[in-house]
Amino acid sequence: MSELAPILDGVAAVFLVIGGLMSLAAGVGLLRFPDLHSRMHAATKPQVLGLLMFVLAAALTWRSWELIAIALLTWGVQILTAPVSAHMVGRAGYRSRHVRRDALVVDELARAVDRIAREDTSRPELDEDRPSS
Amino acid sequence: MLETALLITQALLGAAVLCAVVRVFRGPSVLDRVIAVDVTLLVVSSMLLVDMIARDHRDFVLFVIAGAMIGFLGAVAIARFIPVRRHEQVARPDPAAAAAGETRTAGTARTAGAEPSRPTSEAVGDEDPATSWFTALARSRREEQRRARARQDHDEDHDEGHGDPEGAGRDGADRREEER
Repeated sequence: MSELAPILDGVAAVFLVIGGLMSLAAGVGLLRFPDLHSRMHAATKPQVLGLLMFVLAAALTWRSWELIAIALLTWGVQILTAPVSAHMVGRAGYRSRHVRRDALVVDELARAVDRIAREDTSRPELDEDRPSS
Repeated sequence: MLETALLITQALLGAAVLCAVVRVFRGPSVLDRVIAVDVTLLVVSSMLLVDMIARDHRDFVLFVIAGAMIGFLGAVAIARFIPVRRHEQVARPDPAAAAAGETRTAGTARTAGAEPSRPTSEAVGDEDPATSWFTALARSRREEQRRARARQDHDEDHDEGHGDPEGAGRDGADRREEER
């Protein structure tokens, strides 16, 4: 085990730097991307991959099973909750028209909203909600 | 080797926090700020993890887990209460303001190269009217005043008016109307 220690430390160091680069990428992306949804794309990098890198580095340096379990629990919580919050923020951004339509290649949600507005007359608010084409 | 990596990592995380804070400061809408604050919280959690590695202790494990939970709750709560914008409220970029924004953007060298294709309605420094805290605050305040005035008018009506039960019923109906 003792001859393995420097290798584990080296791998942990690499993981740490990768995680730091992920976080920095998120920061730069937040700063430079033009609209909400592309910023969200950048913001998810440290949420999943960055945190995984840090958790793995911690696990490699601690070398204790119960602490590894706790660290992985952290990552599990994050990976379960991140999609939900991203969904909520993205939907709120779409509905409050923070979408740059000129930057979109395809907008599948607009089709769905159109169809529901046509078929479901019990929800008249969708008529006003329809994105300006 | 590990020490150097820890130093580099902390420097990178610090730069990431700075970027996120700048976005919180500038972000044109609440949602931009929410995701920036989310990233800030996550990077701070990462800093705690790195500190636990560097000084070889386990004091912050609970904080890291709590940070993951809190970021989720905050983002969902704020996103839930963003008002849906109607058609008439969508900011139409009017040409004069757009031209002014163009010249101003071109004037400041900082933003000229950084964000070339930014829509003029979200120009730097312009608060988004639909989701800025301040507009929402002002709007709710105006609404409150309007309601207070309406209630006062009702009371005066009842004073010179007739039977109490009828008035109470009408008042209740009106209030229900307002709540809708």
